[in-house]
Amino acid sequence: MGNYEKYIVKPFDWAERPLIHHDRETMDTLGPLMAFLNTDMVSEADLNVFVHHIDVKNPPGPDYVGIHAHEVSQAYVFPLPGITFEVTLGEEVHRVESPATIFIPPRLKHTVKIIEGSGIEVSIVRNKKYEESLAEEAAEQ
Amino acid sequence: MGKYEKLIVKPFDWENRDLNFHSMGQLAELGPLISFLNREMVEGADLNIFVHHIEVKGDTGPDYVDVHTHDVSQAYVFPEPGLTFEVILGEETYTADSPATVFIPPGLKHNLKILKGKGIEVCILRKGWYG
Repeated sequence: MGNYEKYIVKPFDWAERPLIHHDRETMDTLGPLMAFLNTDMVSEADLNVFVHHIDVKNPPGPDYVGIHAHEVSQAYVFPLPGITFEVTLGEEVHRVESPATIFIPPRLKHTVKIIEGSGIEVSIVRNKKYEESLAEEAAEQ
Repeated sequence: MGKYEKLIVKPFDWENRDLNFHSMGQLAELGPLISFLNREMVEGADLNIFVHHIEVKGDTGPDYVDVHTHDVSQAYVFPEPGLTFEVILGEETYTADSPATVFIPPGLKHNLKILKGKGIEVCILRKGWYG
């Protein structure tokens, strides 16, 4: 094994592990949440990446994440067409069709709800671990 | 238009715009490079995200990027199965199959070559502009 093989990692199903602010059981009814990068996978990682495989069988999809905020920025990337979702940013609710990106500045309250369709969502938090990025008290900008 | 609608952006084809270290003609042989986030799309964005749609039509993909480094970390995320790629990290060369992630710490020389298959690569750089 070379010095850098540790930087190439295989994703794994987050399965029944908890994820703060998220109802994991409800979230998994859409499809599996796969961990692609965090500090448990690569100790030096300063990005946290999840990929959620989504297939809404009975539109609209369920509510599975409460309104919350992070101390660092985050991006939701929907790389492929086929998903309609609703994103709450502060007090505003926007309905969006993929492909699209949502950039969430630090401390902006937000949530996401998948309305219909199938595809993937890539969630990127600019921090080592998801839990450690959370802001205790969200602030409007 | 709400105050935060500016945070929701639609991707666009990078086409023949310059990209440091990359030969865009050869890169585009694999498929379009789509820009999903940078500081020009969203003011203040501190992430740069590209999605490369890839289909290797020949025996192997072209060489399209020189060995290079960044002053911040980067991740190549291959979210779905179907691609085989070769990555250079420092003086080491590895072959891997998707799904997979390659994390590249700041300052580490690296390069990427797609060997075969079809799928997407999500390239994440921890600052608002590629370079």
